[in-house]
Amino acid sequence: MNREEFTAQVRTELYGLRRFLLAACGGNSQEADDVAQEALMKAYVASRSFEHKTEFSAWLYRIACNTLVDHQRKNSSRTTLDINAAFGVASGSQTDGAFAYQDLYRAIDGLNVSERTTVLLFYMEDRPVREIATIMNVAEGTVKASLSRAREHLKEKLKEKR
Amino acid sequence: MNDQELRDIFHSYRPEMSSEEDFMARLNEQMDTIDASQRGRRLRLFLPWVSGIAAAVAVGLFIFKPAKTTEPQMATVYPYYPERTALVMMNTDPLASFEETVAEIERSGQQLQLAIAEMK
Repeated sequence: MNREEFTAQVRTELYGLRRFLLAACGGNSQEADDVAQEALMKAYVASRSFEHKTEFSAWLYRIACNTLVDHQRKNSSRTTLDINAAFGVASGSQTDGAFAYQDLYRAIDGLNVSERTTVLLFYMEDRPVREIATIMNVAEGTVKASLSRAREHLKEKLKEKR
Repeated sequence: MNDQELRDIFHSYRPEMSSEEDFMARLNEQMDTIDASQRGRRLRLFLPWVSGIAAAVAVGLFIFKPAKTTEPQMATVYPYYPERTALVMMNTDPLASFEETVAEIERSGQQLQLAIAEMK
């Protein structure tokens, strides 16, 4: 895959990928974009050996998920932007603006990285379990178990807010 | 809260994000940097091979180049006829005129006939 093909493919996936990473990073758009850039660079370097029989989207999300896990492991002190922190944030670029999704971020933040990724891919990106298993390099049963745990957690957390 | 409600919550997630064009511009810059570093890396990998091949060719030329000699090249043609050898050497003079060359050939022919006669 050459650079033009790679750029064209990335453009089709970009919005979904950035939104997925933004949610996974608890609304911190700077962090999400950094992870996205790092993942896309890794993907670009690896794109020369990309096999066209593999689905580009799943391949790209797999790299993004691995990059996200590495990034969050390195920055284990990462915290969700709290509503109280909004007063200290001068620029909207640091967060997604109006903190409209703070409840959602809080609910997601209670999940571990694996559960969070599974939930976002399943509910937000509408990926089937089989594809999520491919992206996360785990068995389908593991994805289902992870989804089940995450679902209970989210229902409980989001119900509290309603 | 059922599964569909959960899905609706996530589907309604439409966060504000920085411009896609800005993001792509930053990405393109990084791809330029990667391309440049990979070109440099390829060159660095290729350079020792080129140097090695050039050195091998130079050594080969030095070793296999025929050595210049002061001995006449045709001397071995007539090892037992020194005068004939000297004659041939005269003929190799590139500045000799056509007439001189013809005369030399005629003389050589005569001497060859004599030599054959002697051998008989």
